[in-house]
Amino acid sequence: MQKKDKSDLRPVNLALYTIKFPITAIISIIHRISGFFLFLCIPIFLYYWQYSLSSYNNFIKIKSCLNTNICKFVLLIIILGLFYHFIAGIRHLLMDKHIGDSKSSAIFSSYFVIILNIVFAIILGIYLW
Amino acid sequence: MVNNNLYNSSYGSNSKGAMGYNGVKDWLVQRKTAVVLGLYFVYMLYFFATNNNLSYQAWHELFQPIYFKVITIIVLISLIKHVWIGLWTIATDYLHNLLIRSLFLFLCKILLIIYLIWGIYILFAN
Repeated sequence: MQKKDKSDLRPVNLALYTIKFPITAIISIIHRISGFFLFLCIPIFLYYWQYSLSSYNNFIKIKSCLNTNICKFVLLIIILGLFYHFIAGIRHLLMDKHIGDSKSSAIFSSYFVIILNIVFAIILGIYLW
Repeated sequence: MVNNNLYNSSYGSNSKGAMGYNGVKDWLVQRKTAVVLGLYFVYMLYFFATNNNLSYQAWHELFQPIYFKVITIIVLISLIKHVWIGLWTIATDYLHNLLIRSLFLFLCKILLIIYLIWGIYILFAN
């Protein structure tokens, strides 16, 4: 499995755009991608957490920075990533308990995850702007 | 060869597979830490929802009580455990070269320890 010897002649298709993925697969891979993205965002969270707590002036600086559209957009993306990972994670945990692990209910719950995320994105957009 | 054990001892988190460890403990830690992180995230959403136009005083007072500092440290520890298991899974799935995977995981482990210490520092230096 680790070493690729010459007897491994199985076909490889890395042109992912040619493959039709089920919606559950999309949900799952975005869960993984958002997880890794959040790992990359940890130092951003920590830095702004530290900066906002350090003094009143620094807090005001961050608040005024958050009035700009670019900062609001970046924050929206990051928090939406966190919310997506959270909701898809709950779906994962429910499936561990065998709630919704049949094919039709898995498809239903993946659309439900998408809708919840759209709703949250709208609410968060209203909150930020 | 009859197995005379009434209880099959080859299941559970203390039985070793071919690699010398199994994934049950990781699976469980990932779920437990996910619950801890999820609860904290929901609380933070509630905090920001109810503190519209947040003041510095409210923000500073949130992290003042010792019980909240302790809770946040537990959340930080849960975070690095959760992230570590996720990163290990991704590394094992996509990085097949042992040297590259080991270096990547080593770097991630150091980063996670830095984040934990940094987070604890933030709680007690402010």
